[in-house]
Parts: sequence; structure tokens; C-alpha cells
Amino acid sequence: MTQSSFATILFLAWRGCKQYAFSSLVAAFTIAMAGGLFLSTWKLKNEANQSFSEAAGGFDAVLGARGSKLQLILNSLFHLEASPGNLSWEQYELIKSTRGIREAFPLAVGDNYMGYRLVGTLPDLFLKHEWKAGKKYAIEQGGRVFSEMAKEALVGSFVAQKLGLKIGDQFHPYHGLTFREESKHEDLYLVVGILEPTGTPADRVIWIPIKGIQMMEGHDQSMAQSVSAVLLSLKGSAGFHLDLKYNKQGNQATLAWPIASTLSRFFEKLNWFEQILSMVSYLVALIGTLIITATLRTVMNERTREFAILRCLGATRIQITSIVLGQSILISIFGIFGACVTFFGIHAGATQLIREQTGVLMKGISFDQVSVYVFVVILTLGLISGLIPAIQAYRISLSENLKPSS
Amino acid sequence: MLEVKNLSKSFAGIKETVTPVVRVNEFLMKQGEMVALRGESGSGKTTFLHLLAGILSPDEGKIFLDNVELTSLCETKRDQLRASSIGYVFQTFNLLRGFTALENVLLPMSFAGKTDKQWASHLLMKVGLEEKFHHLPGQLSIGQQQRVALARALVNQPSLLLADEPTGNLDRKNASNALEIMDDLCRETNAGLLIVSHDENVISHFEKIVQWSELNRSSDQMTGYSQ
Repeated sequence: MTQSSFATILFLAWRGCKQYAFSSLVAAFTIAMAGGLFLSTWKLKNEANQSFSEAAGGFDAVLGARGSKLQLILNSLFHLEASPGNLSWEQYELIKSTRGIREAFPLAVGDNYMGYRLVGTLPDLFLKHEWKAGKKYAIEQGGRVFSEMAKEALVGSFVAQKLGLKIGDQFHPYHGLTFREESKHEDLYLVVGILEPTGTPADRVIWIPIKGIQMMEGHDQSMAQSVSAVLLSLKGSAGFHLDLKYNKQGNQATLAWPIASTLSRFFEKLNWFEQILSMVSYLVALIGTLIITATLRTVMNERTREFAILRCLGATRIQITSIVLGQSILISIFGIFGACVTFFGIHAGATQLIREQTGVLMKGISFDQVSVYVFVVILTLGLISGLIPAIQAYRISLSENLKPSS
Repeated sequence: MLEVKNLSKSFAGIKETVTPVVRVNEFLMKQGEMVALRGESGSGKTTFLHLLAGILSPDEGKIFLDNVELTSLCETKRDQLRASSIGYVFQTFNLLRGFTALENVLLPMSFAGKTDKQWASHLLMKVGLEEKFHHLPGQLSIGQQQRVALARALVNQPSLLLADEPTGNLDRKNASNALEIMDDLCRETNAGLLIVSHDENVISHFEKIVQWSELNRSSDQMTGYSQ
């Protein structure tokens, strides 16, 4: 096929799409929905898995009350769900001094401000701990970390932005993990620093000294000597020994370790949801394919004479067939663009939602091998859906269709 | 330029009968020659033109165009030969509705692998449509549509122009105008012209007139599908 012939076929295919713009757009839209839905389901699941695993804040394990490992991780690292219970301060001291523990930071939860959690911990979490390899928490200029014994707060960047909190502001905490106006504490806290964004759940927390939670006015006396969880960084094979000690032999506490595998199991449990979405996208793809076929067949019925004229003007059967296939490929290409737009839209919405609900910053949009496969599948579906009309076009009888129509 | 030998074409009739439509023993046309083929409607003239254009394949016989045996070519080669060497003007013009006048004229060039917009524009200007290049067929009068069809048929400078009742849908004034343009363009491009008509006003324009009933030796039961 010469370059000129190729350009003519492309031109005629494009004209076919333009002439039957509405049908072509409906077909492309359906393909776009299917491709976008499939891409979003696939990519979001993988990205969420990866982003959540990376958002563990630089810790290897979490020690908490006896119960679900996942609940422990969600509560202490992602600041979601309720705490499964408390550990005694002695248990914290014990684990801290256990061999193989590099870092141990106690957490205490139980209060909020305007729906955002107050989490009590030690100042060293912000001074010494690396939340990501080589990265310590940074505080916006003019701020500092709270003092261990003062009613001071270090505000996560997301909370500061949402509530408009700045250094020097004061607030009263509210009891419980959800905001209820009538449960206001008398204590007054001073904002002394704003954390630089990290893209982790730490951004959507108000950090205060652990003593602040423990000694908060109105709290149970028993809270003064307890912690909600302990975040741990481990050395070498300490995880195996601790797992054995706490999970298999002990019955007082639960060690969530390794964090990534617990989260992976959580995402695996969500597979049914992914499968349903995938099934929906397959169905939409099938409908899209059928719509392309129906569109092209309708177009064929109306264009039979046009194709016969083109044949008479010198177009070969192969060229006529290529025009029909070209049209279906063009629809598929529009479908691919639409799929990208749909994917961008869903990704942006989901990223925003996940950020607001968990503080986890998802990775930016990227195209990998799966995206290429999806695009190839869309093109192949386009080709397949164009085959029947193309064969119909190939078989057009020249003389029959050139009879005078009036 | 055009030579026809022992050409015949039949169509299947009712109850497995075969109806002969075309049986031409010999027909010759020289380069640049203009011939009118006179005959009654439904006598097989359109079938004969379709055979000459390679749109239909004959049952028997040979057609030579510029010393190339059209009847021995495969379909693709025949399509290519038609694109480059044969122009065809239909009674109903057969312009492509979704394409402008200029695009209609350019299309045969594209299929022949040579797009010359200047030449296509020149032809449209020659037929008096210099201000209608970008008009769709529906926006043109019947006479203007026929002129676009003429320009389209001649754009590849074919050696043979076949015209099937080209003035059948035109009034007398437009018909006369179309014939003049056809004559003029064929002379400019040195194309041979074979025009089929049963209209005496059209036939009278030509010096060489062939009586279809004398040329065609098929039986009297002819039931050609067109004129």
C-alpha cells in the first residue's frame, strides 16, 4: 500500500466517522468507559497496595493489645478505626529494652479536634526517627516539636491546611475519635509547629505529648499508665523472635509484623471487589464491541452504494475493506483516549478521597505494561468488531450497486 | 485504443433460463475518437459499458484497452486500470454525498496514486465551478453536479471516457452545455469518448454514431438491467 493510498484510506475512514459522528462517539464512549474502568481498578489496587505499604512511616512492626493485626496497623499507623485496647506502660518499657529493638515509640489515642485525631507520642519521633530511608520529619519554618510536658501540639500539614491552624493558635481537644461538640475537654493546647507534608497518614494527625492524652482532664485514671500501641523499628531477625514471643507463645499482646504482608493480605481480601469491577469492565467492553459492529453494519448498509462508487473510481476491494477496518480502528483510538481520560478522572478522584480519608498520598499516574496491554486489547477488539462489516464491504457487488437509484 | 472481440454476457433468467444481453463481435475506437452509441432503453447498453469499464466480467470475449487485455486481468489490476485509464460518467452522477466538489474530483486521483490538486482545480474551473470547490453535492444544482461528475471522470486523464446517458437528468440547456464541456475536456485530455444515449438531441452532436441494435447480436429476449 502506497503512502498516498494509506492517506486516502485514513481520510475516508475519518470521513466515515465524521459522517456517522453520533454512533461513532457512542461506540468510542463505551470503549472508553470499559478501558478506563479496567485500568482504574487494576492500577488503583496496585498503587494503593504499594502506597499503603510505603506509608508505614518507617516502622517494621506494631505492638498493641491482643486482637486483630490489621486493626492494630490501621489504628496506629493509618489513624483509622478504633484502638483494639491498651498496653501498660510497663509493657512499653519492656519491649523498648528488648534485644533487637532499634526504636520504640508509644502512641496514645482517644481524642480529636474537629474530627482529626490527637495522637500522643514522644518528641523523639520527630527529632530522631526516619519516616522514610534518610528522611526525618521536617517542620515548617518558625515551628518546633512540642515539649514532653507541655500542652503543645505539632499539627500535620493536611490538618493545618483543612482547619487553617497556624503557629500560635490554641484549641480545646474533644473526647473520642469522632467530633462531638458536647465532649470538649477543658485543656487548652498551643500550636507550636506545622509538619512539612510527607504524603503519609502523619499529615492528618495533631501530634501532642503522650502525657497530654494520658493526663487529659476527664480521662480515666487508668489511661495515665497505658499506651494504645508501640511503633517498632527492628534490627536483624528480631521480628521472628518477637512474633514467636507475643503471637505464638504469649496471650497479652499482638505484634503486627511484618506490616507489608499484613496489608497485602488486607488487599487480597478486597480482591472480590476488584473482580466485580473487572467483570463490569469486561461486560462494558463487550457492549462496546457490539456497538462498534452494529454502528459499522448500519453504516455499511447506508454506504454500500458509496463503496461501489469508490470501487468504480478505482478503489480495490482491499482498499474498501481497509476503510471499514480503519473506521473501527479510529473509533478504538478515540476509545483509548477516552479510556485515558476516564482513568485520569477516576484516579484523581480516588487519590483525593484516599488522601482525605487516610492521608496516604498515592503515586502519580503512570502507564506500565498493563496499560499497553489494555490499549492493545482495545485496538484488537476494534479490529474484531470491524471484521464482519469489512467482509461485507469486501463482498460488495459493483454492478449491482451501481444501478441507477432513481 | 479500444478493441472488443467476440464479447458476450448473459444473465440468469427465470426457471434456470439464460438471457443473453450483450453479444458484440467487434468494436473499435481510436485514440481521441468520439462515438455515440444509440439504442433503446433496456437493450443492454449499460451492461456493455460496465463490461468495457471492467465493472462486469464477460462470459466470453476479449477487451483490449491501450493494448492491455482488460479481460485477462485479475480484479485488483482491473480496478487499477480503471482508476488510471477509464473515466465513467453515470446518468445519476453518483457523486459522494459527504464530500465536497473538489474532494469528489480528487478521489480517483488518490486511488490512482497521484494527487494533483492544481489539476483537479483546473478541471473544476474549466467546467465553470470555480466558486463551488467546497460545496457538497446537495448544495449544487443538477447541472453543476453533472459537471463535477465530468471533471471527476476526466481527472486522471483517462484514455477512454464512458458516459452512460450523461444528460438523462438534465434539461435541454444544461444537456447541451454538458456535451460541450465533455467534448472540450476530451479534446484537451485527448481522451476517447463513448457516449450511450437514446436522446436524438445528444446523438446529433456526434459525427460517428453506432446503432446498438446493429452492434449487439444478442437475441431479442434481452432484458438488460438498465436503460
